[in-house]
Amino acid sequence: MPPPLPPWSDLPLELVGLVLGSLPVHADRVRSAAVCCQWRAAVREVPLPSAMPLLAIPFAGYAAAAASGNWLLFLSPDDNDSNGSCFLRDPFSGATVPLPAQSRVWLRYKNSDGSPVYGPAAAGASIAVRRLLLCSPNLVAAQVRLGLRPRIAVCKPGAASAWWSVSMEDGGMVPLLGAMAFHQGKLFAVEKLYAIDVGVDQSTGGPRVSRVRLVISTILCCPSTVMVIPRGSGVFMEMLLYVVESRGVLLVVRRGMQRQWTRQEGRSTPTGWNEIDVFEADLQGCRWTQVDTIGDDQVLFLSGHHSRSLCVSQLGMPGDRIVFFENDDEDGGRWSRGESTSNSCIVYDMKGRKLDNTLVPKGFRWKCGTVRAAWLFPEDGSSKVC
Amino acid sequence: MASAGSGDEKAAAAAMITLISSDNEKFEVTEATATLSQTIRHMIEDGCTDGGVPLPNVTSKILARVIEYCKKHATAAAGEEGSSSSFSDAAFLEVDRAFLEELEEFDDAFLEVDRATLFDLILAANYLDIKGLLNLTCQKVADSVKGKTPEQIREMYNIVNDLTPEEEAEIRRETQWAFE
Repeated sequence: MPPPLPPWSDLPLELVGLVLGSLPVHADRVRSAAVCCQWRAAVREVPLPSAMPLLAIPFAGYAAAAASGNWLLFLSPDDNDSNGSCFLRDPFSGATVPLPAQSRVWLRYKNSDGSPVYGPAAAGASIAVRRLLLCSPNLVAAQVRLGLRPRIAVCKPGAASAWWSVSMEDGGMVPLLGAMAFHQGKLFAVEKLYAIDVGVDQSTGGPRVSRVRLVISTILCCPSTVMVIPRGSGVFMEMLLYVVESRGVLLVVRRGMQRQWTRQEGRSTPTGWNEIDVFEADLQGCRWTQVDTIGDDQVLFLSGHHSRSLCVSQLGMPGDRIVFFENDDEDGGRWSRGESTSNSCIVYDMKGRKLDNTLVPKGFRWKCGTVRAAWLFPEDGSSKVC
Repeated sequence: MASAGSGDEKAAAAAMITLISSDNEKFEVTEATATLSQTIRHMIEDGCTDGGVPLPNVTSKILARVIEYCKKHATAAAGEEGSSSSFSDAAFLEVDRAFLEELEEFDDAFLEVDRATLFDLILAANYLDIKGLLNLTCQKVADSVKGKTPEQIREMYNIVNDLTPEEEAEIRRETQWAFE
């Protein structure tokens, strides 16, 4: 007689949690949670390690321009009717959170006598949201363009009728801010390190940038927009910076991509050579410290839109690695023109100090310049919006 | 394998522990093997292992398997201790790697069990607090449900669907994307 089958549905909650936590793919966890009450409870009640991130590509009609946690940013098509509406959507649950329309711009600048002036921007003025960071349920920070200048805009998510508060202070001296990260309750941006303080705007009731402070004055690289193209033919490095919080510290990853410039063709192409350096921001000492490991159990998933550090010890993936995924050619055709190198997706092994493309599917080539992609971090408790 | 040998000698010099299964079978093991279990380690530290350690939650069949695992991995732990002292040359590293591969093969073969045994091993690993064995067995279950539908998982593990139709509808509504 066969032994009686064990009551798998009676497996204690924390043990079911251990099993489901060993599943790296979010979809597997979701399906397992639909097996029975006990397994469903485990997903809800046991803190599971983060699942592997997913890559998202946009739906037709809207441009998924940025992601934050498990939220995608949708911008309306560029036409006159929409007023530049934008919203966040969780593609897993379908939940939608409205953001202020891109034409809802509240400016704050200084008069010639130094007194602050607040008010809505003139009719027709509109920001173009480029990158977005969901800092907390009450705060969204975005890199935007207003006219020609890049700016930082902040808003409270939840209402299309709210305002994007754009700081115009310092006479346009607000630095050319690259990647942003939210760390210890504060907003930071590079390429020097700036801390961006956010307060409440009395007139709108929403958030506003109250101060931009320089924390570390050492510049880690020139922004790619002012790179120097040598005369004749030759190679040069194009630099990109990423900021990410990892294990309680703020890290900046500098990626140098070598490009070959040929005068005859009048353009440059990537050679496939990459130089990667990682720096930790020493906020007390106001300096960068270069690090040679990010931790055996950590993987950084980086993109211009949204970067995240993930503990992979339970996910069966080698750690101390950095995964770059880029397909945004808005910044100057970095990955466009059908270039044949797989520069848009690379994996760097910190320990071996070399690219490790065993994790990249063979023959992987992103079709450049057609769609954008963003990392999605499913079921992330920190990114819930009110 | 000099370090593994010295580990064995150390273990042999130490006291033996008697483990008693739920069906009253006695197992003599070295302290190095027994202390892979945090539960037993604490009992030894508290000095309450005289006359044997009763394990009322573990049958002799499962305890024998658990001891098999612990013996193998205790040797591995002894080898690791050795590596931190004087054996840092290339030859030792080579031995070390070969041993790790052997350990991996052992783990794979060890997990070739039916689902009933796997279930009992998980409970035993949890009760005895043997982290490596617990992770190994849970990973085995996780690997088996990858890419499966809830219905297939229920069938595989003989789980009765006790979700109400309302709950099922809610799950479908919230997570339709995962079922397409």
